[in-house]
Amino acid sequence: MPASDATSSRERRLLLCADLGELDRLGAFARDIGRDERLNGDQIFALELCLEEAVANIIMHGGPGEHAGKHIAVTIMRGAPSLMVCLEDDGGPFDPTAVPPPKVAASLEEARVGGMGVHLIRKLCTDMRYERVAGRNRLTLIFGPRADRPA
Amino acid sequence: MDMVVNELDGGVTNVVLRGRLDTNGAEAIDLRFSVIAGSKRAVVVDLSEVDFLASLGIRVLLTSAKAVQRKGGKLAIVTPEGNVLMVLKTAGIETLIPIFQERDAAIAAVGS
Repeated sequence: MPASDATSSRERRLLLCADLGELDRLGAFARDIGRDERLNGDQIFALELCLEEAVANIIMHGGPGEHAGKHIAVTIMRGAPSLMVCLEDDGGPFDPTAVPPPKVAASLEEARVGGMGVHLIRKLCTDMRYERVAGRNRLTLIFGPRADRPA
Repeated sequence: MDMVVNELDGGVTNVVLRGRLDTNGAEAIDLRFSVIAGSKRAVVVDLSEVDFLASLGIRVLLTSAKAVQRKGGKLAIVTPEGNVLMVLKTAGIETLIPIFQERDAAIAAVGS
């Protein structure tokens, strides 16, 4: 195995309770990492928004009752030039990659409300993958250089 | 999340939001915003001092715009900046709710 460059790969972890009140702590974590990794303002916004949408979805789709998850582990790994975020939770199975893209509404009257969180994640990160591993959901988001970021 | 409401000439209601329209920010204003959307016919929503927008915030804006329209009224968004405008565009909102970069144009559009 080739020797790895320890300085190019860093890992930071945050453990959250499955409660919407935890989103403020998540946002602060994302901004903190963004600054440490010298991301620009747009990149920090994208990271923070994707984390908020993904975790809010886990909390809102993980329940109710016996299927409700209790914890969400957020791990952010820096491997230049990309940033990888891994979200693991103990709630019921929920695969955001299976959520269909929102239908384009022709008018305000026809527009459906909701389902926008996953759409925003898809547009703002480079890649999104889901696995169900040992009774846990694992969602991986990759933020890398790409040419087709929305302006 | 702060929300300040004032009535302008011509029966236009001006709603100024300040801070983060994130998941919790949207929940904080949801009820007050629905009351306005349910009772007013000309609404301008000023997003110039909103620095973060998440999908639940979009849901509040869309639900309110639909409620105003059902009464034959109009809701417009004015001066969203940078990434807040990017989120609105990415979510396809600009084709559903008019977005103005000038206050006067927004007021004229909803007040007619």
